[in-house]
Amino acid sequence: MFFGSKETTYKENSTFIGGNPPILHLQDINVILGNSLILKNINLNITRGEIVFITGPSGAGKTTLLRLMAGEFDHFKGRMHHNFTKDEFMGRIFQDLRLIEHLSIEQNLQFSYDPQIFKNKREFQRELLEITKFLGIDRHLDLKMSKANGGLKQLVAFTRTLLSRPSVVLADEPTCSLDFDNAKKVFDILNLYNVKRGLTVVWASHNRELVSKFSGRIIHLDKGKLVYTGHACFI
Amino acid sequence: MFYLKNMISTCLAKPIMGMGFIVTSFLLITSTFLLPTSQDYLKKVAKKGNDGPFFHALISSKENFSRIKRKVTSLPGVETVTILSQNDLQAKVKGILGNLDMENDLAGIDLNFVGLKVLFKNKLKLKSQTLIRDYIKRLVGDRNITLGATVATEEEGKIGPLQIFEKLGSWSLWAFIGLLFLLWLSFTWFFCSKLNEFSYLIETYQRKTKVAVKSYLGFILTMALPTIALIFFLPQSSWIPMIALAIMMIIGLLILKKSHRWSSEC
Repeated sequence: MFFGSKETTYKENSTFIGGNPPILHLQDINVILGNSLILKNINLNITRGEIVFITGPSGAGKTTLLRLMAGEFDHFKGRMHHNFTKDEFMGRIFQDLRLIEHLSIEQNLQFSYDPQIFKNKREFQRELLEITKFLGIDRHLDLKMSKANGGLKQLVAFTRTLLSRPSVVLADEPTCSLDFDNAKKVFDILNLYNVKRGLTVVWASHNRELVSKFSGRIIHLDKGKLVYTGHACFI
Repeated sequence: MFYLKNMISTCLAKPIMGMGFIVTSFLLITSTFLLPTSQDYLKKVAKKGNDGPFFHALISSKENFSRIKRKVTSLPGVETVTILSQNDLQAKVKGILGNLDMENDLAGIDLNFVGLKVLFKNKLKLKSQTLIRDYIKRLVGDRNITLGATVATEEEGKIGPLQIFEKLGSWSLWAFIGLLFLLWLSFTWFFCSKLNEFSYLIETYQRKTKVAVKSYLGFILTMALPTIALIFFLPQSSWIPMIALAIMMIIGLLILKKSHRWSSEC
């Protein structure tokens, strides 16, 4: 049983409560893949610094919604708007992780070193150590990716995204291979970055039980329709 | 520089594939750029390889040496007859006599003669060579001519790798380039998929776009620059290398577009 309200439809040029325009705005979105309608009439606003969980059963359209937000679809009906400043960036955690197996964990993390963002390599290295220590993977940095287990790989993929210093993280099942303690660590660090840097998090998960233990807003999808939006603690 | 570094790190991640791509790209660019010059060079080498034995003849300059040249050239078994410069011959003789302290005797020596170099066709029988020599003697007169010994060409009968190219015909160079191209294509195919993966991650986690395309084009152009510069020093230039370079770029871009770039279906 859900408590909450349906997402109010966003109207262009309308004033928002608190005066904070959404960082992501979706209006009357319909996505058709092949012959099937994957997302049906989605209206959604995600405010800067918000933590949002997209939940729903398999095939509900969670991944499609994330891909749409990431700008992977050119052909969709409706309007979508990213309210980014020049240096803002959308980081992603993919369900299939997308790691290079024959490189070490550290080499995989180096892909996030952007000289435009970090003052120098030392600063990047310091942040890399901070995050890996927090997640407890700092002693595995020299390990070849192919020899890492599923949970470790997931934490590496997560670290790589955080190291790119995004303003929005789109995470597709980022904790599906993790036990609750590690999943909690992931959430804690996201929460920390949310407080420290105003990071916006969009987290897709089929595990409603898990996300109900974290604080944030839940958007529940079913058969491509947005059926509920409200605070996680109300589940 | 960032894009070249990206190419290098991709090469280092897969060293055999990377080195194969770099070496075949370099060879392909260089061989197409040097194609016109190579064809010329091979023709010269082949001609040299076909040369038979030769001998020198000194004839008094009073003789009509042009007529002699014409008559000898028309003989079967004679490849070419070259007239050696009168001034060069005189300078050489003076030099030799000078070394022997015989400069004072120069006044008594008649230096007015012309040198001829008669080149036989390759593998000409000894009997035919003797007949030709006898014919020249009769033509000029025994007293008016001095014949040098017949010198066999060192490479006569031997076929080097360069002669093989010429023996096979001018298309052999094209066949070589074709083979090289196929090799390059297979290395490029595998290398580009790796480059695409690396570039995809850079684009996803850094604020950059079209990394693979920029890296590939930057690398090919950097590799071609020294060869393009070399064109200005070569006697012959042609459009073939430019067309080849454009083809390499287009094919590389098509492979980058087609090759694996992580599955977008999750």
